[in-house]
Amino acid sequence: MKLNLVYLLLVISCVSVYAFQWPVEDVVIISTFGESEDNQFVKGVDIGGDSQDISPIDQGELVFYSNQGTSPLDIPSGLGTYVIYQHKNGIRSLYGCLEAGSINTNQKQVDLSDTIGRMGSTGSAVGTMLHLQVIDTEFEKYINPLLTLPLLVDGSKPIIDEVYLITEEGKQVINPGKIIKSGVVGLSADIRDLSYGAGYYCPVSPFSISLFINGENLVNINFESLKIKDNKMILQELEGISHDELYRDKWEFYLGEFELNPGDVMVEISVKDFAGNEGVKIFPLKVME
Amino acid sequence: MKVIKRFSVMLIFITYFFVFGQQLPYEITYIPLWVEDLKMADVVVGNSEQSPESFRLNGKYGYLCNNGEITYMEDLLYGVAIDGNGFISYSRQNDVLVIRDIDGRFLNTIELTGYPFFSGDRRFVISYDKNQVSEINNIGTVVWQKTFSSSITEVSATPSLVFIGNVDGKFSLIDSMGEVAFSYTAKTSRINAVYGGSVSENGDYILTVSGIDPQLISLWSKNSDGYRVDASWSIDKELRRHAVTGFSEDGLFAFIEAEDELFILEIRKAKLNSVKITGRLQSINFPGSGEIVHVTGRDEDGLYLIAIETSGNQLFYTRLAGTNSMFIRDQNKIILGIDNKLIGFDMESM
Repeated sequence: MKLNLVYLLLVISCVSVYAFQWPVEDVVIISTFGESEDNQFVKGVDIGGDSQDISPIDQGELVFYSNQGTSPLDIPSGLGTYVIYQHKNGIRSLYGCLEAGSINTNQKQVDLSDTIGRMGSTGSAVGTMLHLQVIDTEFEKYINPLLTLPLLVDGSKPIIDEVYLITEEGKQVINPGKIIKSGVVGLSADIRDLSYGAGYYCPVSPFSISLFINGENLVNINFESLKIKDNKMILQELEGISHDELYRDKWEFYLGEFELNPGDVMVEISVKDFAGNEGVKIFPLKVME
Repeated sequence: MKVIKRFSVMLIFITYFFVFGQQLPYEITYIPLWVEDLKMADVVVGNSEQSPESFRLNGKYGYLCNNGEITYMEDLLYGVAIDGNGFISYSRQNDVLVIRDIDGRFLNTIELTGYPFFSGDRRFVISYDKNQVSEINNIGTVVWQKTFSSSITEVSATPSLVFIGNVDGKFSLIDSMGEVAFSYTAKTSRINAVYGGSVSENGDYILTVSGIDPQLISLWSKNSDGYRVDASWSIDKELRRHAVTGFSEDGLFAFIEAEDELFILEIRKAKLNSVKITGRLQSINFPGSGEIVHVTGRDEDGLYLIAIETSGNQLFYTRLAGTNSMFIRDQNKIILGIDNKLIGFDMESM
C-alpha cells in the first residue's frame, strides 16, 4: 500500500512538471543525476551514443556559451564547449561537452525545433556525449532532469548486490541469517540501476533508496535535487547528504548508523529507478548480546 | 612699429602652440633580434642567468629567456597551468595532478580531480563541472575550497584576493584564508550572470561585466562597508561569453574584452575608451600609464597584433600569419609567438 502510494505520488509529480522535451532524438543515458563522478555528484544526466544534433529542452534565451579553445585567457572547463539557456519560471538548462564550434551563438532566442549544437567530446568527456543540467535559479538548486523530461521506457529493475555491515572491526558482507553482535553498526550497499541503449547496459544511479529495519522506514534517499549547504553540495534539502557522506565507492552507498538490539532483526532495502521499477533485498539477521 | 611686429609674431607663435599644440604621435620601432622555431629549438636546461618567462604556444609549453634561449619545453598533453614558478601539465581526466618547477622537476602532487589554473602567483583547481574552486599551496594541500550553486565563469586572483564570478549573477572576493571578503548578486538586469571580472592588485577596485538587458561594466571601489559601485556603463553590443578583464600593471587602468571592442578604463577619471577588435583576445600586455598596450587576437581571418595607447588611440594594426599567438614584454624586450615561431624584438618608442 505504502509503495503504491509512493509510486502514485512519483507519477503525479512527474506529470505536473512534465514540461520539457528531450534535447536529442535517441536517448541513451550513461550517467544519472546524483551519481558519483570525480568525487562529486553528477548534477545532470549524461547522454551517450552516436553524435546527434541537440535542441533546447524548451523555448529560451541564450545566457552563456563557451567555445573550447577560442581564447587561452579563458578559465579551463571540464564542460568543454557548452551553452546555457534561460527558460520560464527561473529555469535554466546547460548543455555540455558539445562538439567544438557546433554551438549557434548568433541565435539569442531559441525554439523547440532549433538546433543549438551537436554532441561532442570536449572538456572532460571521454567519448561522444551530452551533459545536460536543469537548474532552478529561484531556489538555487539543480533539479534531476528526469523529473522534467518525458518518461523513458525502462524494463529493468535496480540491482542490490552486496550489503555491508560496518563496525569497528571493519567491513563485512552480510548474508541472510547472519549472526552479529548487538550495538551500533553502519550499513552500506552496492546498488546500481541499469540503463539500456546503444546495444549495452550501462550502470547508473537509482532514483531512490529506502531502508527499513523491522518494518520501520529509517532512511529515504531521493535523487531529486542538489543544493549548496555549508559550502557543500547536498542531496535533499531537509536532511542533506553530501557526496562524501553518501558514497563509499562509485556504487557503494552508505545508508547510515543504526543501533541493533538483541533478537531477530529484519533489514529491508528497497531501491527504485525513475520509471518506478523496484529492486528489494531482505535480510533476516540474528543479533546476539 | 618694429616692437609691435615682433610682438605680433610672438603672439602668433604662442597662440599657435596654445591652440594647436598637441602631443606628437608615438613612433615605435620593433627591431627583430632573433627567431626560434619550436620544432627545432634546443633546450638549455638551467643554463641561463636570466629568470625565464613561461610560455604556451601551439601545443607546446615551457620557459624561455628574452634572448631566445629555451630552458624547458614539453608537448602539451591536454592542458597546462603555468607561471613563473612552475607548472602542472594535465590530461583530459586526472586523479592526481603533479606540480613541477620551471626545470620540470617534481615538486608535489595534488589529489584532486579537476583542471589546474594559475592566477596572481597562486594555484587553483577548478572542478570539471565548474562548481568548485580549491586553492592549493606549495606543498600540494588544499588551503580552502568553495562550492557554488552555479557554474563558475571567472577566477582571477591577486596575491591577496580572488575574484570568482558565477553564471547566476553572483560574484565573490575570497581572501587568502578562504574567507568571503565580499560578495554580491546582481539582480538589476533581465538576465543575471557574471561574464567577467577582476580585482586590482591592492584590492581597492573590482571590475565586473554582468547581466543581459542591460549588460553593465561596473567599477567598484573599496569603502568601510566593503565595496560600492563607483561608475557603470551599459554595453550596447552585449556579449554572452566570458569577457577577459584585468588591471594594468601600475593599477591605473583596467581593460574589458567586449564583443568587437576592447574597453580601456582610466580608473581615476572613470573614463572608458574604446578600441575596435574582432574575434577573441589571445594575449594582452598592459604595463600602464604612458606605455603601449599590445594585444594579439584571433578572428575568422586569422591572427592580428594591435598596439594602442591608453587613450584608445590605435598606433598600429597588423595581420599575422598563423592561428595561435602569445606576447611577452619585459621592459623594451618583446617576444612575439606565432604558431611554432618565437620572435624576439627590441622595442624603441619615440
